[in-house]
Amino acid sequence: MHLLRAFVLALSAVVLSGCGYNEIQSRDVSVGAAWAEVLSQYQRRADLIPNIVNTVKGEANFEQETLTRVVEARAKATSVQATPELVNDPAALQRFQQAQGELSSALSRLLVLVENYPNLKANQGFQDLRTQLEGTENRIAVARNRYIKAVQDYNVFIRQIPQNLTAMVFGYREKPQFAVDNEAELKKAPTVDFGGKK
Amino acid sequence: MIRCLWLAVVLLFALPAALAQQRGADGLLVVPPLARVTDTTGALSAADRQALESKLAAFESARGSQIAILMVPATAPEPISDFAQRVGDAWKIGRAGVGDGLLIVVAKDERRVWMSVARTLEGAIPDLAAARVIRESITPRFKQGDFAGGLNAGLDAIFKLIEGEKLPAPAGVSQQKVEAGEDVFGLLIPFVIGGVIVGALLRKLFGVPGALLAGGGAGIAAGSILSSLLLGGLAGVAVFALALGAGSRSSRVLGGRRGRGGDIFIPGGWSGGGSSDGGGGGWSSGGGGDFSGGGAGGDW
Repeated sequence: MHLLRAFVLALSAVVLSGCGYNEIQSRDVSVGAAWAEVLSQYQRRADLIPNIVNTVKGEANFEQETLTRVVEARAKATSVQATPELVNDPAALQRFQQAQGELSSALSRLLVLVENYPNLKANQGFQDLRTQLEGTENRIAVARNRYIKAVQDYNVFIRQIPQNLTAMVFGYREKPQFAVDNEAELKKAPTVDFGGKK
Repeated sequence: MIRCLWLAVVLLFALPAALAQQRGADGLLVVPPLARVTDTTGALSAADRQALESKLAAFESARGSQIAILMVPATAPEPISDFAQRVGDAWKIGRAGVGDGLLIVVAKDERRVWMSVARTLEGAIPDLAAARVIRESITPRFKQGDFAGGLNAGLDAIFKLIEGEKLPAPAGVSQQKVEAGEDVFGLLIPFVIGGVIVGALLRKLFGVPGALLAGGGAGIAAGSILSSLLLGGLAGVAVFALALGAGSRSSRVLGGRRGRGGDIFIPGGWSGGGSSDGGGGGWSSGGGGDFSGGGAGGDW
């Protein structure tokens, strides 16, 4: 009897790994890690913004409205609870994405406007901040792409036979993907009216 | 005579076209084959190229970090940073386990340069430092059309930054390989031990088929968990042999049957090995570089 039990245990370990349980685990962890990277890069951007805003504020008669928009968008973006659990909640992910997208567009508007202020353009401190911001946006793009890839791998995997059964039994559901619908709009360079200066 | 002229004209136009980068179906540049210095613009003379290559090779054998330079005419419609990212993802330059790679991409006709820094080097070369190297060393010389000089000065600045960082010393290739091998076989130990315990019982119960069963089971478990057929096969054979021996003193060796045969498995992807340290072709990537968007760009 004792031997039989050991045998059954060994067999179930083999069968479970054959059903992709371990693979589901490892892909689930990969998605989590990719998400953590996305979060940390967004956080890095949020940390940069106060410095940028302060530097721009130093410029006399900089358009207040744009600055306020950036500050508000940042406040909104950081107020969305960005927990690791977000990856399992489509609605929360959507909110998070929306807020970050608004911040992106507010920031790019600010950067376009800066072109109108020669003092700022010549300001080394501001240029440094700008370089850092560019690098951060890059890292965000890379982190997002990797996250999208990780989620895709995971979703495809748990839909396949026999992993779909394993996933069902252990309650692993498909993870929401970054939506791309308003992304195209966000990526468009903002049109700024320079009031006939050009 | 006219035909000769015509041929000359055709050659004149065809040659740069052949030298130019290939584009994929999506209109984006195809990632070129791995090389320390790639120039499809003809901006570098053969001597310059050779000098840059041996400079990079010398730095790699002294410090271990892998650096590559890629000059193309243009990357449009893709931003240069995206192209550099794709190249970095494909090449993965940087030592395995260290990941100290750096990539300089120059889009000559667009007058833009981008430096992609692998994550390991982001501490030594943060975005600001990369931007400064480009602004102070590279682009001023590019402005005067001195591409070799700009790249040389840029590399000098980069070398200094990397030398200020504490990175593992370049290790002998053979040593690294042994470590990798030990790691892989270390992973098998739990499967073999577990398999032998179960296998000895099965061997007692069912005789030789029991050992075979245990071998197969351990092989499949190890193979699927470590996702390598070869490792699975090794675990299977080892468990089978040990279980056979454990179960009976007077074991007769069976011919032929194995736990699970395997394909060839190369641990750790395409970790080249770097058998050719000298300049020139045959350079292989360490495969450890993780380019996650760090770096900076500039134009001239």
